Order: sequence, then C-alpha cells, then structure tokens
Amino acid sequence: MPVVGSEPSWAVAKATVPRPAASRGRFLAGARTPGLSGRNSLDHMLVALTIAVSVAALALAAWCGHAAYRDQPTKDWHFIGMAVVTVLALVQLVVGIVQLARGEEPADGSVIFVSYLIGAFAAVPAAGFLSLAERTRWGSATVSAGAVVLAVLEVRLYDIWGG
Amino acid sequence: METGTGAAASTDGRPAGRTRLVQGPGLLLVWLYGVMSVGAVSRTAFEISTKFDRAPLAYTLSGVAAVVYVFITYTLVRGGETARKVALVCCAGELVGVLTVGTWTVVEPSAFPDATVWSGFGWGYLFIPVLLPVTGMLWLRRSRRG
Repeated sequence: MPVVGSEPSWAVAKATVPRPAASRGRFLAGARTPGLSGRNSLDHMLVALTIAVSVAALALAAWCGHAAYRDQPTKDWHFIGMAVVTVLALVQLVVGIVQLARGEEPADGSVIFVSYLIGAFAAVPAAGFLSLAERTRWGSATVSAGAVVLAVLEVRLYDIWGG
Repeated sequence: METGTGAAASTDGRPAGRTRLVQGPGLLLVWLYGVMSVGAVSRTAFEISTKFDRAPLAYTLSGVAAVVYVFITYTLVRGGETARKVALVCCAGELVGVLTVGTWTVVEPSAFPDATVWSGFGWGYLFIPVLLPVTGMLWLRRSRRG
C-alpha cells in the first residue's frame, strides 16, 4: 500500500525525494515476474504516452504563443493541433484506466491518478473553447496557457504513476 | 454566455450595460483563476476527506485558498461594476493571504507537516498564486468604466 500524498508538491517531490530503487521497480518488475509480461508493454506505453503528450503540449504552447506574439487569434490549424493533443490525452486516459482495471496501483493512489488523467484530457479543449469567443491574440495566449497546464499535469502524472 | 464582443455589444443588448471583465487579457486571467479553482478545490476535497488529521492547518488554509479562487472566478465571469470592485478587494485579500501563508511556511515549516496551495508563495504551482492577484488587480483597475 503506497503512502498517499506524502510529498508536499510536485516540485519538492522531484527536487528532494530520490526515486526509491526497489519501491516500484517499474522497469524491473517484468523481469522479476515473468508471468506478467502484458503489464510491461502497457506500462511502457503509458510512459511513452506521457512523454508524447508533454512534447505535443509544449509544441502547441509554443505555436499558440507565437500566434499571440504576432497578434493573431486561433485559426483552423491551431484547432487541428488542439485536436491532436486532445486525442493523445484521451488515449492516455483510456490506457491509464485499463491499467487500473488490470489491478495496477499508481504510487500515489488511483483517485489522484484518475483525477489528473481527466484534468489532462480536459485542459486543452476547455482553453480552445474559450478562445472561440475571444477572437484576439488573448484567445491564442489562453490556449498556450492551457497547453502549459497540460504539460505540468503530465509531469505530475509521471510521478503519480511511478512514485 | 454573452454573445458578441467589443463596443457594439456593450452599448445595446447587455443587461444594464454591465462591464465585461472576460475579454482580452481578462480571458487569460479567468482561465488561470479557473485552473487554480479546480486544482485547489479538488486537492482540498481529497486531502480533507482522506487525511485531514495529518495536517489540519495546512489543509484548512488550502480550503480557504480554494474558496477565494472560486469566488474571484465567479465575480470575473459575472462582470459588472460591483463585481469588479468586489474582485479587486478579493485579489488584494488573496495577495495578503499568499504573502502571509507563504512567509509562515518559510519561517515555521514545523507547523506544516504537509504543503498548502500557498506554501512557499505557491512555488509548487510555478508561483502562479503570487503572480495572479497582482496581474488581477492591474487588469481590474484598467477595466474601470469610463
């Protein structure tokens, strides 16, 4: 049973708490328990998705930030970009729930894990929706901020899953 | 949800010509306040319902922060001169709260077995908690009517 939320914040957790070598053993667990080979591939997929969503979110943030800098509102191509990022986050949400259904336990607990997955899925669409009503550079700036929020949530998700 | 933007919409159609606060930089501000509201409310709900005894002071202060964020978000979305003034006062109170709690957590960390939203001036939230009320007050002063 993991100690739920023992760390003060994500920044503190990253800075001061070294990853315990044997507590989760994400990359070693498969080797120790050869019967659970399926777990390993989905587990790697979740980590890969977390990295992919983070990179995509930062790219979207830079893109929309550039639009805001050039005094432009969000356009069709930006919304396609938001859709791509959102689909990635949705896949991550599904894979995460499948992992829970298979009996995997996130280091910080399932409730926090699912909350962050839902938040990550909703962040960019919500900001995009707001930018529909604000056809100025500030709509672009809001989407950019939403993408940054998503990237931060991904960093937290990585810690919540892996400990 | 109001339709239309800019001067044309504010001269007619708007009930009593309510000053619109969610426009331009105000949208970014409302978005950040909304994110902080969701974050603080869900975090506090989880902490108080599962482990309140561990750090009652910290979780209560997070709850105060959550209420402040939700209320400011509401006043910004609602708009109008009264809401603008109320939001201005709340932002000032929020800034005092962040500075007080932030200093308190730095000076006397032993009083906080777990972090609050405003611990260390909100550094767990990229210092957004200490920056938001300042930008909020600047925006609310600028959008005064007339």
